[in-house]
Amino acid sequence: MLKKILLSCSLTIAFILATFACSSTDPKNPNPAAPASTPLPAPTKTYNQLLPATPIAAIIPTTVLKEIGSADKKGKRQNKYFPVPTPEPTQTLVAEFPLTVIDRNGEDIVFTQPPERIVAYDAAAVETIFKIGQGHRIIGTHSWVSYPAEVANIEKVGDAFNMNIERIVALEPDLVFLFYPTFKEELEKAGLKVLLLESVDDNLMKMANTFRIWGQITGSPNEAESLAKNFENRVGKIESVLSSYHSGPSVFQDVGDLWTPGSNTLMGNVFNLLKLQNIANDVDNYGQLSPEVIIDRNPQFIISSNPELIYTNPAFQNLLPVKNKSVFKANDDYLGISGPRFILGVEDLAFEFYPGLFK
Amino acid sequence: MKPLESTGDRDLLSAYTYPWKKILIGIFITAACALSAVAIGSVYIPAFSIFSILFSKLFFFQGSDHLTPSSHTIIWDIRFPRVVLALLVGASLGISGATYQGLFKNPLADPYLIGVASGASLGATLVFLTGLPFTYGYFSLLPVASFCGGLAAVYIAYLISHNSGDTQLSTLLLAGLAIGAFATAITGILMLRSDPDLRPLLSWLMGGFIRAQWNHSILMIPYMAVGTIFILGYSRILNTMQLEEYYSESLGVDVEKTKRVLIISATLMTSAAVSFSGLIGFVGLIAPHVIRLLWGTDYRTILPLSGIAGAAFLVLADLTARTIISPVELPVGIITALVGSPFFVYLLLKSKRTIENGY
Repeated sequence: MLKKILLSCSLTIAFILATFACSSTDPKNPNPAAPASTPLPAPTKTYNQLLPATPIAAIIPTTVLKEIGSADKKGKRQNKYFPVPTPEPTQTLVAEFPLTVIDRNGEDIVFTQPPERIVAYDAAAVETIFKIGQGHRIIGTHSWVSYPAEVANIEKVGDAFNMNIERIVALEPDLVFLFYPTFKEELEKAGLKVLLLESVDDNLMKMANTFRIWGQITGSPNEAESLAKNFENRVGKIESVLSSYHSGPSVFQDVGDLWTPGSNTLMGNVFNLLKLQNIANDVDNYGQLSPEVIIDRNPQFIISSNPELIYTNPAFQNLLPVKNKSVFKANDDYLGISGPRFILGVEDLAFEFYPGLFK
Repeated sequence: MKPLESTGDRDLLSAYTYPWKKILIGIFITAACALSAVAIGSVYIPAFSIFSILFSKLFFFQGSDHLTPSSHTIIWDIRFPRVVLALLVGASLGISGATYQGLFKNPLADPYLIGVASGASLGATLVFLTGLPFTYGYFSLLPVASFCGGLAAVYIAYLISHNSGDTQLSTLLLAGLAIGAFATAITGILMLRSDPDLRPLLSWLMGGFIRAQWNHSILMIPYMAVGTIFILGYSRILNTMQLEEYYSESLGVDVEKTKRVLIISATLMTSAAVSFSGLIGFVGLIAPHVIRLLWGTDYRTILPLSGIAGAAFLVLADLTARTIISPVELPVGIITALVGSPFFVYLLLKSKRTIENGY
């Protein structure tokens, strides 16, 4: 009897001690927010994306965010405060075939002509291809893609995580574009040409390169070039406005249930660009941040997909954005898809957080 | 002395003393675990301030002037409600798990056995997909829906098994499994047909205490109290239920009424637990087994001590889940399985009793 009690006591104590040992709290440095933003490398002209690929967050794919409150903004938002003129291309680009594109694994994918029947399993790719005027080439996508409106007439061959491979084979596509590698091998075994480009999650500027790659593949490099240039100019505009500032306010983004992007995510890149101090900079990829850490790091701005849940949580009542009722509802329609509209979401944030600077 | 005080135990005729000593020691250990769980966290707060806040709240005096408001919020609005909710949920799962194991005479029974979990998931999914807002001020719809879903599933299973005034427990078990499988299938269909953003739903289904608030514990207490009182009141009769039903009846036990009371009480407790913390596996399964392996098969011992063991275990598991990869949290279900199963195997190997001669 006594032995058993001793046994259970010692196990409990061992458990507590193990937990003590595991809790990696450093009381001296409670706020490991990042220093000033790291400089972004200049966009390269080549299509060989040299940086190592980052794995896609399994639980939080950036492409599956819900459309929230975007309808009322869409109309008036176009180019509202960033009237960046679309640059005239200095020289007319010509699509050259055969074209070699380097995929996520560093392998060469050769195109002898623009693909006519594309299954684009990625919201960002669909948006990009439509934006450069080549939407007629898309014959299939997944059921969570809802923009642009023409997508309604395109066959859905599964949702983002399940794929009807038989149906895809039956559509006889000459290119299948994926945003995660799960079904790559099976599709290749079925004799299809599969393209999986490197993820843009670790570097915002890769998005422009992705636009250019699509321009090359679909044989409309000029439209893609002006789209990419427009993107780069608008990012450059934000950079130049903020260049004289060392560091901006601290920010916490809640993408649902306190899941938050860390520094090595696309949103982490956006925060760097906007010189915002992401309080979750030490989070790897996406993580569910402890509520007490949020209170301790005391963000000056909160971006949330559901501000009501932040406002009603009794623990958050002393946070500045809650007191001021200023939790910002991000436009997930823009920021959730790394396509042509992404920059609009970035500009939204710039306008929201630096109202004096961006007018 | 009555001739048959306890069954299943080796010394049938020895007098039984209620395990007050074990209960008191158990409560003491659990309280120690709970206090350490409040003291430890991602954010460092000196341990004495926990007592300072606790005493100032208990005895209404101003003793915590030296504390920053953020430490006060972290202790009182985040850690305390979280630990208290984990205690209540752990105790509920432990007691209802032991009840189901005794009632069904099945060592594999857990609190989710007869469809509570699947019903609750379906209820929660329906709320998500109807697009209703989850919160109306401080009132949250999600727990209510999952509670109703869990109750409904068990009620249907009960109706199926309850024919001609007699509840067949084996039929109830199978009906519960069938209802559960059906509800899971409906949940799956709804999720596949739904809007993209399933993250809050998946995160809720995985279980955890990141949303814990004081009012959750306050809402939880009545269910837990009622369930516990009824189940503990029936613990002696549950012992006789280990015999064949006609032997129990010959001892003067109202078998039908016992089944009804125990099923309703255990379901109420489990549904309440599920609705505030999602589905947390393993606690309700192993807590009763640990007690049984340590202290024998008398349900007067097993029931209260399972509750205490479940509470302590879940508090420590949640503590680990929120500190082990700080500042990010893990789902608590991962910890309960990761820590619980080796401990359980250790007990199985160590114990002189085996499944064959002990149960």
